[in-house]
Amino acid sequence: MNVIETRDIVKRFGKVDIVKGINLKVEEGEVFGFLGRNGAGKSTFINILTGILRPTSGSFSILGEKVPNEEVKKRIGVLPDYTAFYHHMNAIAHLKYFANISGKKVTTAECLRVLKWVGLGLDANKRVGKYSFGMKKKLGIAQAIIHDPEVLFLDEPTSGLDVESAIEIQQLIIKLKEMGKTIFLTSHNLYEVEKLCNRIGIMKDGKLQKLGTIAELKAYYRSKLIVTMKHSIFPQDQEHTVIQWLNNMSEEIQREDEKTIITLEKEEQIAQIVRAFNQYKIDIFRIEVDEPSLEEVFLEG
Amino acid sequence: MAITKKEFFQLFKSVKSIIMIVVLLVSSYYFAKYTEQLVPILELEQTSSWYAGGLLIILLLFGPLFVMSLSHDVLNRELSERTMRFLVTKTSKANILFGKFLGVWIFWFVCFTVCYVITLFYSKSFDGRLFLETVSLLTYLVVITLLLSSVIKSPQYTMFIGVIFGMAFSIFQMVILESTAWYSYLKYLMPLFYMQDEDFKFLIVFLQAAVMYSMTYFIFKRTDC
Repeated sequence: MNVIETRDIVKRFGKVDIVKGINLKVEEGEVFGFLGRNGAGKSTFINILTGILRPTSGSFSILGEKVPNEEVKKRIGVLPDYTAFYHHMNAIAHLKYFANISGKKVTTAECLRVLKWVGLGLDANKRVGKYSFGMKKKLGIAQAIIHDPEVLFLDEPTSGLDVESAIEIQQLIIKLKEMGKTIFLTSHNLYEVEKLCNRIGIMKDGKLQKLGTIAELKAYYRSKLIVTMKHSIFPQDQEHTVIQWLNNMSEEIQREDEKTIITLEKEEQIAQIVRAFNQYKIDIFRIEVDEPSLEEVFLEG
Repeated sequence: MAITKKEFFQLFKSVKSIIMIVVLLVSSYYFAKYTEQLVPILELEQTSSWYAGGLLIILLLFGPLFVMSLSHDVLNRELSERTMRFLVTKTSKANILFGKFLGVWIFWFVCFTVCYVITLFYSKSFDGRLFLETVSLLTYLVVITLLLSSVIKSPQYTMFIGVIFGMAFSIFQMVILESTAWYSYLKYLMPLFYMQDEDFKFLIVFLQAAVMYSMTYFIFKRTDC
């Protein structure tokens, strides 16, 4: 089931199109990562999905219901890109207030449980006016999950957090994923996206430039595979035959006695080489495949 | 209801509102206390109406200032500080607007009802029409404050404009009602026009409030948060 489905979403500010016709589907239980440079339109797009902004044109549905829809809002949790709170209220009062608006009454114990999840257990009764940026971010995540929503929209959930807190939040996202939540998140942290997400979309200049699993995107940009093999010395009587066979495989080969670097076009060719070496009684000690990192895929866009 | 509750209690918590409540209570107490002595001097009729009428006069003269100064930022504060983002992702803009309207309205309704009860101790009679008339004006003022807060996006501006408006509105109404110039047609927009006679024309003030409420909703609905 598609939990999020958008059709030609456009957002125009004045005469400038910030989001230029985005079509996207996110399936149930997926953690979908949305990447893009600053100003690419990520936050605008997530703000449209969550009802903060109105699209100029296009339509979308969440949980199978056409949006805007009052009932759908009760089933989603949102961490907006800008987290400002009511300074005079404490974290528990915030969670009770927001959960109440979402149509669910929560007890103090439930609030404390969620605050502990995000690492604010000890600051639950402190006025939010005294919170640091990172603490506000954590409270933002807590208010997004307090009413136990089915879908979560998290706009840069770990930006501005210290390393320890960021790891805590990443673990929480993994926990929420295991609980079956569908999560749509944006991030600048590629390592985080690679760690958490099933699929990613890369946005550039208001358009969805790339879409797929991380493996698919890497494969797309991996036009050539540079394979480095450490192996035993080729048997003297068969050395010529093996080298000739390798030359038939690829034109780009660098060879030393116990090391071969070969440029291949397909992954299947690695398996062929392994089988051939095995046949010629050449021991393979190590194979390294140099493939594009997510950073390279991101920068390619 | 959560939004209503928050708005209602938040108003009671500020120093400004406590001062307003004290001013209202004190003035209604003294108005009621001295009405009996003023009525024979001014040769007024229907003494009992003057107790409650006094409160209506206070509301007519100072109501716009009271309501504007406390609630001028009821919508735009959350928009400018972006706490509105949390609300719009959880419920509809119609619910947010109604919740805020109700919270502010109940606050002023409670304040004026308490003042009314004080005057009842002296008048010993309840004038339902006059009470409803006061409520209609109260509703008008709360809604016009909401409208101002939706049109002007900066709380600093609404504070300034609200205070000016609050002070000028009562005078402006009286000038227009007395005027015969071309702009005298504006009197039909003024609540005071419908409250001059002892009849039920004041119900039109509720209608005016409803029209302004719809305008506020239309503007708020189209506002990006």
